[in-house]
Amino acid sequence: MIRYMGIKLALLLPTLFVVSALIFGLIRQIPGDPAAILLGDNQNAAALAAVNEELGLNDTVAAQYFSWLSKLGSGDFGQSLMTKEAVLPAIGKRFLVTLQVVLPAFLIAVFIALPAGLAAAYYQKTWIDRLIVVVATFSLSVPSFWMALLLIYQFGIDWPILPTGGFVDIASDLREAIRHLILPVTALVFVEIAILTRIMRASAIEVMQQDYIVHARAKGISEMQVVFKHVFPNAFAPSLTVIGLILGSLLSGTAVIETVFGIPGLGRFIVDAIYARDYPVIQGTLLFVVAIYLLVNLLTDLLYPLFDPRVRLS
Amino acid sequence: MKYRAIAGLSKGAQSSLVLLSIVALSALVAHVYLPYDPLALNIEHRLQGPSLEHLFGTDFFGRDMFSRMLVGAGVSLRVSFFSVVFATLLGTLVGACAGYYGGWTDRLFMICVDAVLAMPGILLALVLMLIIGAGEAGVVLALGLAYAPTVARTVRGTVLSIREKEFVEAASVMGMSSRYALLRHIVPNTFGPLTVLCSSLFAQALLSESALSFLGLGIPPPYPSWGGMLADGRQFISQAPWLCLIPGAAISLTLLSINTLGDALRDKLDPRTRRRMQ
Repeated sequence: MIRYMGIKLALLLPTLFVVSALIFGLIRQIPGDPAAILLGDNQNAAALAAVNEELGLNDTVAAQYFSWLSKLGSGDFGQSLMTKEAVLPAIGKRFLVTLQVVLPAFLIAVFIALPAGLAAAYYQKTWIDRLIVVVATFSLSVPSFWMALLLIYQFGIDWPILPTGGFVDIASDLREAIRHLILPVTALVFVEIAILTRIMRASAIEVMQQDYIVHARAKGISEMQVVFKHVFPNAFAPSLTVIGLILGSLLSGTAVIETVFGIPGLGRFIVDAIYARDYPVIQGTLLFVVAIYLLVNLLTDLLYPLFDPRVRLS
Repeated sequence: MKYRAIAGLSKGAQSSLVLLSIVALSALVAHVYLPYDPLALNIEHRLQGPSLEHLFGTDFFGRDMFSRMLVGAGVSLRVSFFSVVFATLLGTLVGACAGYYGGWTDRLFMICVDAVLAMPGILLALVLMLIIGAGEAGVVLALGLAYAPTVARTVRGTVLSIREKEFVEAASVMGMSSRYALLRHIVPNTFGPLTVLCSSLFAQALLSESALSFLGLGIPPPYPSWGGMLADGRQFISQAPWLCLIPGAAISLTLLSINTLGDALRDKLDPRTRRRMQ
């Protein structure tokens, strides 16, 4: 197990290397001179040259890439061109904010979607199934930012009971933090349940047609036991991959939701950096996001045999 | 035959087809007739509610929302369509070569594909937009590049399974070149899974285009796009909620139609679900 994990982790490195080269290459293609942006209005040739020299922008792209890479190895992600903040701690700070929004949303979505998918499969072709499928298709089709705006209108303006923006850290004021989280979390949950419900329904339907389910029923065990001991565990495994993908993409920040609600999370951080052409921040955050995404997927792979004994790690 | 195919669809799929046709039709109508100039400012008439004169009301600059919605329909459909076409062409090329030639070609292509797939699509598209520049062509290129790896994976998987089939072997025994076998025998067999994938990519592209425009990096204002109109309406949500309601509803209904039709398509083309339906 530990050995397998080590190998898998080591295998992430080449992917990360390719991704880092890709990111670095992409960022350098962005038109616009960061030195000019940094200096703002008071720019002249001498100042520009000085800033370029200071930022190392005069070196060749390859030299810049390898100097960035060697610093990355020691945990130095560079510093923001705009705020002079060190990039890695800044990412950490934003990531904590994103976590507080994303984790509740993720958990709620899983706890709604899995039973809903299971119920739809169990009551296949009845009104229950049809209702769940319709709601899931709806939630697949409504953009998260529109859902967010509808919620803001309903609960912030029409019937103003909840704050429509901003963020309060859980550690500072729990009650206010929860009040601020309700709308963004609801918007995220609504959008995220769609895919998971559909996957769970599809795989549960497939499991229910297997001979061992007929056999289990023939044994005379209760329907509850059939569903929870036989259908659910077997149908859960395929959903696990999707759960991992959803969590991975959620953790990379939900730029749109964070923008609508004015939450200073990772997604908003990267969008702001993109506007400001803040190279070190864009590079560092993108790489961090990819690493998180790969790690979450690795974790899902490792959890797989726990839920599906037919899959062995090798 | 065609009529029977449509009649065989479910009620939901039929209404989706009607809805999507309406959107497509309004995009076409926008080229011929518009009640108002979608860019014309009219400060005296700003933030008016829906009326007979302005069906969908007017925005902060007094521009007619109905005309803007019509033009926006074209933008959304065009951008999504061409980004899917671009992604499909590029992805099929990469996937087919990787799957057919195998070895180092395969490994090299797949490393790149996996690297791109590990980046969240919307962030990748954002960075690409900065490089290419805002505008319709920019969004098409950015989304196409972001989606091509998904296509490449699907095509490669199908090619790998078909490459070993007897009819491909027969073709090479008969002395056909590998490129001919690839084009004549292998690529056509990927069309089934590709059609299903494309319908879901089309929905994703439409959603991403509006998200990019919403974030201000898609179709540059003042040119109308549904996502951009939604972003503009955000500031006036308390005085003029229709500015948010109408574009959002349009995006949602269009996506709903595409998703419903995509499901119907998958039920038809995917033998696994077809068996399940029986």
